[in-house]
Amino acid sequence: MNRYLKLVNFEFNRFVKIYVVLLAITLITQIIGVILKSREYVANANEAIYQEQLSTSEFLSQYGTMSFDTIVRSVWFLGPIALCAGAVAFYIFLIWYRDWFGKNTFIYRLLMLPTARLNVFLAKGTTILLVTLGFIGFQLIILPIETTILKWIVPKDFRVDMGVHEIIGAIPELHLIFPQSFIEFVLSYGAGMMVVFVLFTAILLERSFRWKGILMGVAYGVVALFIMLSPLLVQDFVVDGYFYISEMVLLEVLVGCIVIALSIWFSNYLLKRKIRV
Amino acid sequence: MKKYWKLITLTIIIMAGIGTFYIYDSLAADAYPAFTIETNSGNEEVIENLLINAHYGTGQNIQPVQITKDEAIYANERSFFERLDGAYLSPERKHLQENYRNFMRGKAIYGSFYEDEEYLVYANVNIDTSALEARSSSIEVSMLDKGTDETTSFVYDIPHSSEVNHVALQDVQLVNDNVTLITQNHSRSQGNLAIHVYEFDAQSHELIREESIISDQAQEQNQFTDMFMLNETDPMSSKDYAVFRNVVREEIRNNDGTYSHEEISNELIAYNLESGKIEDITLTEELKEFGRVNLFDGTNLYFTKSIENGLEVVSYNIKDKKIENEMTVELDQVESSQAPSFPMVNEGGRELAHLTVHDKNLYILSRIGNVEEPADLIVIDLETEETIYEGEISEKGQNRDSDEKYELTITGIEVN
Amino acid sequence: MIEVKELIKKFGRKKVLDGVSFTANKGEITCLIGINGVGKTTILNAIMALTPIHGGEILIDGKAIHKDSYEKITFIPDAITMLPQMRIADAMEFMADFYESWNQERATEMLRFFKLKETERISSLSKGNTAKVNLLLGLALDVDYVLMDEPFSGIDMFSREQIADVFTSHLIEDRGVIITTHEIHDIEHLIDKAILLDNGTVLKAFNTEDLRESEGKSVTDVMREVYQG
Repeated sequence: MNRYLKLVNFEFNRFVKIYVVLLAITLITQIIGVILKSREYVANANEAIYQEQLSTSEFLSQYGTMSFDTIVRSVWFLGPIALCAGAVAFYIFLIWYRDWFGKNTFIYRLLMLPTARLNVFLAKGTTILLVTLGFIGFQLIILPIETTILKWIVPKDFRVDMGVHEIIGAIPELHLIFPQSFIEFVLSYGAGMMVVFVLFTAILLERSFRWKGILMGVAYGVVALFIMLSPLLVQDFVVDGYFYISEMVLLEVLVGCIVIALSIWFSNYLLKRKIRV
Repeated sequence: MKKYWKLITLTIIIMAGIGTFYIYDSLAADAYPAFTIETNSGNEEVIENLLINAHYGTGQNIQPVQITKDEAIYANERSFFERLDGAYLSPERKHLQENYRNFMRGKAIYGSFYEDEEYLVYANVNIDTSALEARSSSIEVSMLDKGTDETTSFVYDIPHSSEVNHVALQDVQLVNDNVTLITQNHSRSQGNLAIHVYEFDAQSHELIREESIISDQAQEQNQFTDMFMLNETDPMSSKDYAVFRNVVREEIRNNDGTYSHEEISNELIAYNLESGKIEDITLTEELKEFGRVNLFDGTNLYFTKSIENGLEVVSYNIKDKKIENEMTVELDQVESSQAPSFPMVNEGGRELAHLTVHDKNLYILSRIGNVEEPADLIVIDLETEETIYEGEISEKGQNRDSDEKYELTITGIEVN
Repeated sequence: MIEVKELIKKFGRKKVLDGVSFTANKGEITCLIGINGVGKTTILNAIMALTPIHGGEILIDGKAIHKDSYEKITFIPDAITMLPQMRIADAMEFMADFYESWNQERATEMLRFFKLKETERISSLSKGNTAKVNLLLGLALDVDYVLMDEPFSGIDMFSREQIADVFTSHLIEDRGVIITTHEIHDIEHLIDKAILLDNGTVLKAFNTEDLRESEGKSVTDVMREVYQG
């Protein structure tokens, strides 16, 4: 095992307790949501059919069928996703600052490991990526379980069954997190990692230069943003729509790679020459 | 390895969850029904280039689909890059992007194109929205000489006037080496809608002629005009006439305080591109009763009327001012309450069929609401008035539950 | 040999170190002496590349520090550099995982000597025991140089004696040690070389043995001369 993988393992293990709790919250909340929403629908149907004397088809035309996208739109489903997303966003910062804070300054240890300091940076980045993908993978695994619960509660005549793809396809807001094709998945999470690396660089600037570093970090973020926007600006103001959208995507991939490379190179420099414990 | 079990578990979750999701994606083609056009009788060649645009699905999850003779391609089956440039959306766009990739750079998709053997012409009206008060518009024209592969472009600034508030491009044509643009000009004041013609010398790029060919007929304060050009079956090709429908409506205040509109006049106007003159289209009383078809192939207008067991189709030649064809087509009709889309037969919100004309062949597709009922496709040779092809859209290999509630909605047909 | 040459370090506009030079040899204990805030810790941080320097040069066996140097030199800061939720066993496993120079036999020996239990969590250790674990994690590495920042500060008397015993043992022998202190008493008899610092410069550097022999002065005597004279 090389030291990079050991560091990834170590970083993940530092987060694993909170991680398991978040996964458990997701599973439990979503399942409660499925049960409550399904029961609510069945209760409505029962009341309408037995008390208001509606026929099944009359009820369906008035209230519609039950399908899983109703549940997905509820806070029971989206709440945990938002919580996990928030946790990842927060941990992007905490993964660095926790090494500096407190009496036991672990950053001494990390910087004194007999390995390139860049490995520490890459291991933290990898951990963020794995944690994020883990949430996605877990969600995709528990979705079929949740649709099965819906099937147990709501009778066949009252529901429209949806596959995992259809459920996600039905909610455009989820497309960024669960892109519809693998290539979009790579682009989406590639862009995500780019943002993570830019933030990491900004954090390292702050850690190297403290107060002044905050300004430098913000400035670096602005530079990265400008680089990312440059193809769009060129397209709109210089060449007036010269590039096809597919070419624009390729250009964005290119500048995205430049931003990632720049962030890694700059962070490596900061860790080697400017970092302070 | 024991130390790494948590990380290994995480990796397995990622692989299993995300892996299955995207592997399933590549197999998802099987999840949608494979519609094809099945021939019952006649020559299959006439439907070789037929494309049926439709939507498939229910509720939240509707997939655009294109059905051809042999296959149905759903939008989500297209590759990511294919979807980006949207070339697959229309064969026209695909043709232009594939054959004239560099010329097509920076060309707005809502611009107009004209194509003949020698030239490809693009025109677009750019509206400067940065100035709020007086909106200045300019006409942008690009011409590709296919022989020399040279592109010439020019921009004409529409003189600023308070009269013209908005210029909407309707069509571009190359007539006698002149670039002719037909526009719909709105003015700020009410009741000032007009169809304009701008003619440019293709060599010198000088404006030769600018004229209002149809002006607003609305007389009273409470009258409104609707003026639009009829869609053609092949908008890019050279044509003899541009045809407009000019409708004047009057707003009537009902007793209950609501307003309704009543049609005062409704006429078809033909503009002869060659001569630059307006020609009246005088229809017989009988034709006026026909449904308002907006189908026009550059030479003939097609009128349809639903009858008990099918459609009555009449084609009218604008140049000769006479009826060319008059025939009845037997058709199983399916009723629907969907909103209409063009060009198709539409009678009082009841959609009956999609129509198109190509190479003197009339294509008729009976509209369907449900996949359980196959849509009929009929092709009629307009010269002989004989049915040369009969077929239907059917689902190949029914691989889904028959009681699942799905629907195929056809939005249009085209032959290229 | 660790060579510190003309080291300059600024915090903002203030020069904390202004041309500090000294050497520390293998097999010797070198002690940096000075009052709090004189920049002793900064020198150690600079040697370990834990803080940027603004001038000068630091060489370890003739070379600038690089990633493999950390197998040859270690730093024991004044606070423990392990996660508080770790047990002592976890901490040792971490060290064994990342350092080829980790010597488990020696670690076990020290554990026994300090009477520490492997299963104890770092967060639950007393101050003295935390310092001992900290020392253990550094000294159980088979490295040539050990830097220690105030190993005796804030520790009870018995722990202090135990730690002092370590200095005379084979655990230190043959290694080059740089130690900082603001209070010389506990280790006066241990050190080979003293570097007296003030105002960011080296006031005096001398070999304790030589001075005792030639002038009969102890380190304390020299300090009194230098700082009060």
